[in-house]
Amino acid sequence: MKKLLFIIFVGLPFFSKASPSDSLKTLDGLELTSSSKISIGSTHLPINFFRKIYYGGFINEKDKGKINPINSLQRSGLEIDINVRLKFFLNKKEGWYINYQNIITNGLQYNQGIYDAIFKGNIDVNETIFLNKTSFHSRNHQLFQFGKFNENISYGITVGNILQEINGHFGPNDFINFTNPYEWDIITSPNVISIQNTKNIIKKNGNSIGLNLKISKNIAPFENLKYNFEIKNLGWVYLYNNIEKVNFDTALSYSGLSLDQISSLNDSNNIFNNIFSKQPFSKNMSLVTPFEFNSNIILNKNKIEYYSGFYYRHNSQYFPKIYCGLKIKNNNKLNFGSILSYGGYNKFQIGFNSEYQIKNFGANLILQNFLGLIPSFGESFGIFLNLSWKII
Amino acid sequence: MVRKLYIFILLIIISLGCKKRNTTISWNGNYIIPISKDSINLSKIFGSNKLNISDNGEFAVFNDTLEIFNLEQNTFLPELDFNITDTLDIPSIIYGIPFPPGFEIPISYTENVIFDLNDVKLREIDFKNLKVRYSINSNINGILYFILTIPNAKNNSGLEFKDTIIVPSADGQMNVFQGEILLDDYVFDLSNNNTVFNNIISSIRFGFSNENSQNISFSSSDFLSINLSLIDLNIKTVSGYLGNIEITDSSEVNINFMNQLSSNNITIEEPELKLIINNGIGMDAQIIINEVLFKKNLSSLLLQHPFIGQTINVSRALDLGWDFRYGNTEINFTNQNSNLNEIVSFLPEQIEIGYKLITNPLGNHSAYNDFYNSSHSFNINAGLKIPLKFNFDDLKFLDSININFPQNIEPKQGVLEIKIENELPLECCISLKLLNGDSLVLSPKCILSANVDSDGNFLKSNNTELEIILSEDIMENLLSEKKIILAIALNSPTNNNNFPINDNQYFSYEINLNLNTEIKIN
Repeated sequence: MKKLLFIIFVGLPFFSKASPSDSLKTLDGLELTSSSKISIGSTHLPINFFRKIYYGGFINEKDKGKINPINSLQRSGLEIDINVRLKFFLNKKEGWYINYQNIITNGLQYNQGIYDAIFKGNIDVNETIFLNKTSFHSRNHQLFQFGKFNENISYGITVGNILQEINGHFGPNDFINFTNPYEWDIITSPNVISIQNTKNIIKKNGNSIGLNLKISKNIAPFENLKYNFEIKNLGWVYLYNNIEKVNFDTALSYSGLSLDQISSLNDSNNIFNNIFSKQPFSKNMSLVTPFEFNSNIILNKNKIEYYSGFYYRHNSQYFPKIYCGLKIKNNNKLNFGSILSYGGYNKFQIGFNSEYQIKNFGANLILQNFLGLIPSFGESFGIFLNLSWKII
Repeated sequence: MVRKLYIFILLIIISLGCKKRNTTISWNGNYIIPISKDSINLSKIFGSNKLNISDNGEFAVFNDTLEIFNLEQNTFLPELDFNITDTLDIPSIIYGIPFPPGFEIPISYTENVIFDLNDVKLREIDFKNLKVRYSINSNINGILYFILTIPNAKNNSGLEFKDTIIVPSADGQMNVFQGEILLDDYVFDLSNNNTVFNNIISSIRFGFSNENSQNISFSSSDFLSINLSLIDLNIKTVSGYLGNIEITDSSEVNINFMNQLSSNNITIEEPELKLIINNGIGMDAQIIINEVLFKKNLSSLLLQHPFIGQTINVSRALDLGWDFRYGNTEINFTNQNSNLNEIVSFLPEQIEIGYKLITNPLGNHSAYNDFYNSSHSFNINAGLKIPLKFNFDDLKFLDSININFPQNIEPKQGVLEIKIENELPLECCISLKLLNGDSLVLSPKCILSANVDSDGNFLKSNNTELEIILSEDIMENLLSEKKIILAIALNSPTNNNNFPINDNQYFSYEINLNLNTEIKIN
């Protein structure tokens, strides 16, 4: 985490949004930008829960979130996205771009009952907990994007280093039943693949390749109405080295260990010691990239920008997010706006954004969820911070 | 302005965001955990290979063998102290002659030693391995080599032992150079082709190493001696006459689990104890068991039987090459010919046997054909045959049990629920205590015996449900002391019968823990 914050904030001094005319004379313009975001959220857990997971402390009953039906599907996740981009303008409307992105995401999708059984206890879990929708991931991808852009369209390629990729899900018929707490019925067939980072800076255990496309246009005949949609890194992840797998199929009714099992608990051949252990997987694997899709419609009217959009990230336990909002542009140095959203790793969120602009300096702060400021109540917290200034 | 803002934000975020977690994550939960569930019968407790059924099929019979005496090799064989010292006299005629590097003195120094092993006359010893330790005293100015040969020690290829030792220059000062040579699988012929016994021959030659840079000459002040000893003798077989010795000694065997048991009275239907004397050594012997003493705490009880104090002849083992036959003798103890039932009730923790052993009482009867093979020994085994038809009057078992909660669990309080279905004709009362003496609350305290008929035969199982309350104080004590004292008292349904148990009678249990606990993750 320290390293991550170091990258984010050491990158910030280089953040700029220079006008093309200020750029190098050999090109028509050069623009260097850096943007970073961090967000954490859950459909049922207060921010205090995550705060205590990160900083430590006693998770009290209030931190465990409100009571939900056992089989209600919940999501929790963390996203950290760091970008540094260079745009080379061949003329005022078109040019080339290169972008470095480090994306770290962790996501879980699970039934409430699993969470309750772990954090509250299995005494009140009186229904079968279905595991068929339970899945999780943890990834750290380093992406290098390059391509071409003009006024309306931008397209290019993403190549990536897979620093970490853990992906897991349970089988369609998997469940845990604590209805009789003295006899646990467990049917599980989890499938988890995992690769970790290597010490080698260049050679990693996996790579990816994907396509980028962004289209932005006015909607004729309305001059103040426009749309855009963007797809980032649509392609394949190829894992070829040091892949580990956890894959077993078990159906058991556990009502206590037998005497023989108790006496062999520390035996290395014990089934309980081996069933969950990772096994090396010698074959190569390919996956669809965790691509992103984003689409917006924007209306500018009476110094107010109204916008509405849709965002999705693939294979990340991410619920497609819809949002709408407005920004008031009253030509003051300090402007405000708000945003209402639903999806991602959260349910409804009401957000706030502010923009501060002086002569050659601009700051843009978006707070994803007001209620996140009250850690014991808010269920998500996200911050987008953009700073800019003209180099010359 | 920008720089100030940046530094301000940087400091805020780093101070908030990079603060390392230094406290554990923890939470409270209420869990019901099935701990253990099983059905136990006699086969599961004793192992099916130790059980058979009584002749009338009414009850199981437990059979086991316990080694209570084993004759060690060094008890009947004298100490084999094979030690040879030889001073290598340098002939005065060669004083002052300069010898070039690589030159070997053309003299063999041979030592032929017959070792005194009392009346033991050994023909041959086959060693799994042994070491030849050498110690060379020298003041010779020059690097020497020694060729050491033991002609009557041959390896499994038939080659005699021969090794070369390099001795550094002593530079005119008296120095001792020591070392060891490991020998694997060597047979020593101590008979010098059936002419003598206990004989070892060594032969030593020496010369000047090629590593010397100049010629070497001897003077009258030069001295050279060598001492050889055979050590760490790991014997495979010995043959010859093993001697006539008389050993009076005692041997003790501990029966560890017995110190946890005590009883008012135990009656077992016709137990049998068999002492089996196995002679795996190729020599005749006589043994007199002077006493067999059973001990518990500070009390003791003597075994009474006509054979005590009597001489028992034990014939020699026979090695036929394709077959090895022990010399066996068996003595049976029953309730009729001994006080066995009294000993069973005594629940002895230790058995002490006082004995006198005479080897080769008829002398060299085999004409030097005694043998000892380390894979066979002279031992006494106790063969137990205990019919599981008994009456227990307050058989008590006392033990301290280690309680180890997983590292991440810090229990607050709980209830241990135990469900039992008992098909055994035994009532079992349980007492649990903390190390500070406080008792745990058990409700009820006893597990009901199975219902039996007037002959004590099983009719119907009885169910008991026990609850043990683990309060906060008890949990705190268990977490700190990690021990609990368990006392179990077993009683047969009445005092007037022996109650049979068969292998198809089960004691089934289910233990569940209803736990309120704090879980911690570091």
